[in-house]
Amino acid sequence: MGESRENTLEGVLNELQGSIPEIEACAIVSVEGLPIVSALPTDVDEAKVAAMTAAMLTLGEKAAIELGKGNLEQVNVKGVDGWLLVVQAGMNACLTVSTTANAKLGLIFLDMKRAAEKIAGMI
Amino acid sequence: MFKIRKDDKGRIHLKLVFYGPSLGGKTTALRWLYGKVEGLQKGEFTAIEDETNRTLFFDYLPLSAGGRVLFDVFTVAGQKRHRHQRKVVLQGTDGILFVADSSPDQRDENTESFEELKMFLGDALGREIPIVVMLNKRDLPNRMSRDEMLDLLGLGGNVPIYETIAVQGVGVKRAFQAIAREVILKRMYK
Repeated sequence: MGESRENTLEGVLNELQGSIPEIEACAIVSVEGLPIVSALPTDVDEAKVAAMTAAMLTLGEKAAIELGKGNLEQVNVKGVDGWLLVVQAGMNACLTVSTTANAKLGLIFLDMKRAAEKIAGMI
Repeated sequence: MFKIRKDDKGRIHLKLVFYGPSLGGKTTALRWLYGKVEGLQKGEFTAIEDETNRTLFFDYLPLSAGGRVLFDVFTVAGQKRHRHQRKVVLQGTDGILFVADSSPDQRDENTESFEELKMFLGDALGREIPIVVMLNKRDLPNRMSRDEMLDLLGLGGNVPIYETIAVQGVGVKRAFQAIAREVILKRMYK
């Protein structure tokens, strides 16, 4: 019997994206910056998302350590047209989400946390 | 200048080198990655050591992240007399993890090792070849302060620094992931 949809990494991303319309794209990226799985619009390059996630992690981790905030848990970037959110998904991966500008962050973080916990159990 | 190396299975090989003074914790950190860390596919650990288990030439461990990229991870022999071997092992390196020793009596050894590394790699160090620094043995009661060590090595704000205890694995995986990420950013996403 095959794995049910919600028990795959693709399924976790699809469920996350399907539950909140403001999420435009999401991806699972290894902490080393390599793409694992993504659910992206056709005009978004998976490698670029992975590279940007890696760059955000590098800067975020440095800032957190240098300013005494401990190990990095998440990085949030706001642009005029939306948010880029990166959270840890276990010790080996990160969940990156791109949203529209009017997204309700509280709800998104709640669903990202659930998704990250599932991902952590799978990787 | 730097060419991506691929094997016959199409996997990209990136070379990382643990560098630093003798008995600073390079081999301990690599062995900890080999023995304790989950989430990295590991190959065989190869060590060329003397009868007291000190690294004679290099230790080598292939680590795979995601299957498509393989990190060939080396440590060097830290003793002064192995200078030539260190130069050989550094050839073709894509990234450096410098393991500094927090013991106050290793002050000069840290400086000498870092100066040697700068001499071997020249301007490429920190530019074409990323570096992450581990301040190791942070559990020592008489350890040098972080600022003292950074001053000693002449490090400013541009190099990622991790405080580690290699024998317990504290900080080792994060430091490794940081250099792996720096190298991937530099080599694969230019």
